[in-house]
Amino acid sequence: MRRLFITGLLVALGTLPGSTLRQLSLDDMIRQSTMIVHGTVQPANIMYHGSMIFSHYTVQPTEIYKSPVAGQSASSPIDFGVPGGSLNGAIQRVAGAPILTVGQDYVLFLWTSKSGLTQVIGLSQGLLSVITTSGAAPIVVRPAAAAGALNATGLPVTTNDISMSLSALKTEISNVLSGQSTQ
Amino acid sequence: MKRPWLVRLAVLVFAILVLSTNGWGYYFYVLYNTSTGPFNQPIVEKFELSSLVNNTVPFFISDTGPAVLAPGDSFQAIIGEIRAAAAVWSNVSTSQLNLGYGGLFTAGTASGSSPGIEIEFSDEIPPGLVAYTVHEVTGNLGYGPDGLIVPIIRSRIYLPNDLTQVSSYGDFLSYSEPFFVTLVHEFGHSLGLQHTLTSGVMSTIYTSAASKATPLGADDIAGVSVLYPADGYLPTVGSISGRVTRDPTGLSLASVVALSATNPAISTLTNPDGSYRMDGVPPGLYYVYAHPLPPAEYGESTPNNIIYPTDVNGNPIGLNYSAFATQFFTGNYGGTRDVTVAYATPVLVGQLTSGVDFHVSQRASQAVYGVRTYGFSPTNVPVASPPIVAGFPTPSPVAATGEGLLNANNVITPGLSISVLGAAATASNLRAYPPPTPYIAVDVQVNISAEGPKHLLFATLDDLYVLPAAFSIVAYAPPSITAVTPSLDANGNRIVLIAGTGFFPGANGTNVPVNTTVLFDGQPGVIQGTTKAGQLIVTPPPAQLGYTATVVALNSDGQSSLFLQPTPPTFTYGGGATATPVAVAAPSLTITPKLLVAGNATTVDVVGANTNFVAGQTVVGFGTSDVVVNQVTVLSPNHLSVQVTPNVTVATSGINVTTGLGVISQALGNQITTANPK
Repeated sequence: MRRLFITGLLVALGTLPGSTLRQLSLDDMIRQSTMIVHGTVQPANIMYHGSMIFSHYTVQPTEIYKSPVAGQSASSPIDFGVPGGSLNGAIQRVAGAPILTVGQDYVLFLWTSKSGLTQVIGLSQGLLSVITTSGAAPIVVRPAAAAGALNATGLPVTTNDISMSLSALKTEISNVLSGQSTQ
Repeated sequence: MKRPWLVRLAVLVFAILVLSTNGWGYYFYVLYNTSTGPFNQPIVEKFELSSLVNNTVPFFISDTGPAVLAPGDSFQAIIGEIRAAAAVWSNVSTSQLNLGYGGLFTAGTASGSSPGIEIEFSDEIPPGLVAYTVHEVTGNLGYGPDGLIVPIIRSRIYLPNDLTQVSSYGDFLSYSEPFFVTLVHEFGHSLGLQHTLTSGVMSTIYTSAASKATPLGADDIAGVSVLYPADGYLPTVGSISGRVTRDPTGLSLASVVALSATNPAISTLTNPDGSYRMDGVPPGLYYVYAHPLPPAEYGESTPNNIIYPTDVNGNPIGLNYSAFATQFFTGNYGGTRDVTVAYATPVLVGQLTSGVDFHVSQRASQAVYGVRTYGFSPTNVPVASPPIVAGFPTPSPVAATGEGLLNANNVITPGLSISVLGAAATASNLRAYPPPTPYIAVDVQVNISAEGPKHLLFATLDDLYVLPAAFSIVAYAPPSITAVTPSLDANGNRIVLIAGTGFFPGANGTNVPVNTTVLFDGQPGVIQGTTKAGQLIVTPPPAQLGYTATVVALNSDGQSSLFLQPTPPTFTYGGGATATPVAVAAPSLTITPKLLVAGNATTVDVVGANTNFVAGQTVVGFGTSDVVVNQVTVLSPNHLSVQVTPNVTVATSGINVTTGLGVISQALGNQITTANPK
């Protein structure tokens, strides 16, 4: 019987074809993002970048975990774009684009392109919700099926492939950025 | 003048009720003409055929090309692969839609005002993405022979501008399986197809079984064929309809799939009221099952990254369930997870099989989903949805990864069992990899040489997951190329002798292996025959002297020489065995007239220097959908006559002439040269 080759499988996991999305691990997102921000979002404007419509939002930071500018304060709102929108009679929709809830508390892994356009990394991959319940420490989860998925009792369904305390996330970010991650 | 789409919609509601169909297989981008129901009249986004010439959507490629190419790659090779990926959809004989290469367009400008598809290379693709596609619509409705539609004005496919820094791949090589399959997938989106879960090219990475040799699954073919049906197509296929309910609520966006041991899967999603209709199903007997959409994975914004249908007010209509138990149709109220007692639903030519209803039970979550299978070629190259050669004396291991297969420490989920649908093969020896590798494996033994895709059933104690096309049975090992030798035929024409193994035998006693294709940077050569030594005699597609192309062999069973040789051999035009670069004068064009005047059908005279125009292989484009090229006549290797109809006044300096792999662009200073000779 032929052997199975674990090394080959790991290669396959990373390289086989199919879709536009490639999964980023948490550490990938920490390393490859240009900014990591905790805050709430507000809609801003809608504009073209080249031929693409982007719906812009601002995040009002309560804390900045990673920044291209050392010691950047959390006072100024940060602009970022989400692909898709409606402008001047044209409607563009992008499958997988982040679905944001105004006023929701998020940790955003942002990435700025050479042209200066800032987006959520990996479409929706870099969008983590911060959930705070009374008497408990805040947790961060990656929201899924945010629009319209309801269970039998009419409650929103969320499936989270990242779920950890906010403090644990901050520790992981710090470890990765200082080269101490164990992942 | 166009009226606002809501007004137009109101005016045309009567027409839609009378004339349009109420469903399909696979899944499209959908609008409903109501916010309260009934939801049985979906309106889809698609290209409006009446706005196209010869049912052809022109596609244009950004003239800048990628800023950074993978080592050894070239812009010409990328153009060749993009054209080949477009041809995959054009070659679906049951669809009347064609994709026509319209040349290079100027990056940063619109490629015309008529419908078309643009391929751009973008710096705005963030990590975690390889490519994506955007539809642009205006919200106005159109009306065609098959009812109301939302016309796609323009689709844009965005590829990375730096092909050395692509997520997961690093170097994204144009000849590779992932590059090609991604292109075919994105073109599918550009035409109006959404993701499905039946392992076709429109599946997401998690379940796709597409390959360069057989990129389209039955679901993909049915999808594009129902969206743009060729004359006479629909009467040759049948339909299945029914409803998915959970007492008594109709379930929105439940997936319904038809397949059998010998038929590949075709699927659809339910309307908001749970009703569905699956058209484009080839006649036969099918097991039909309903399953929930999996939860959004790894940062998808919706399950399977589906763009939800919208109501008349533009509000998305999502799922109204979290999960339910997968079940096969039994012909009565019950439903079953045991396929051996499922009802074989007949689909007849031109007939609708109705009443295929499912009454499902709620679950908190799916037990298993998002499974993907792998195997290994004889040279240990990992291959998704692996081919297994019939007659192999020992079982072949098939590995799988997905949600719900393993518990902590790689303990197989209690009660999990895996079996093959039908008798063609059996699966045994379920086992797990050691932690932390999140894989299981089974051994698959082929019992009957019944070639084609086969489906795996993953049963748990109280649920079922079906993975269509989890593997395929093939008759031969993959092709391989051991030598590529430049030569000349008796008439002095350039040929290439391809030595190797696994080429399909000739049909009807000939020595031409009709089910093997040899590609040169994605463009097919013409197999003339075989030598006594068994080498394939191939006429390569035209290219400039000194050009170097990768050479890949594909077999119609879905296998590729890339399965054995991830780095393919190359062929240099005009080079010897050592592929010494040849100094060649650059081609150039002289165009008459200099200006095309709007509305005037015009004959454009093209005189080339150092060119090699070939009848049937020379394509002319002006980089804009506003100039329609009606006919290209090759008068000589250095002379073309091109009949065009311009809808706007444009200069002819934007002309592109493509012959095989040779690309000549006046705007770019004539020939596009290979940046990194291979």
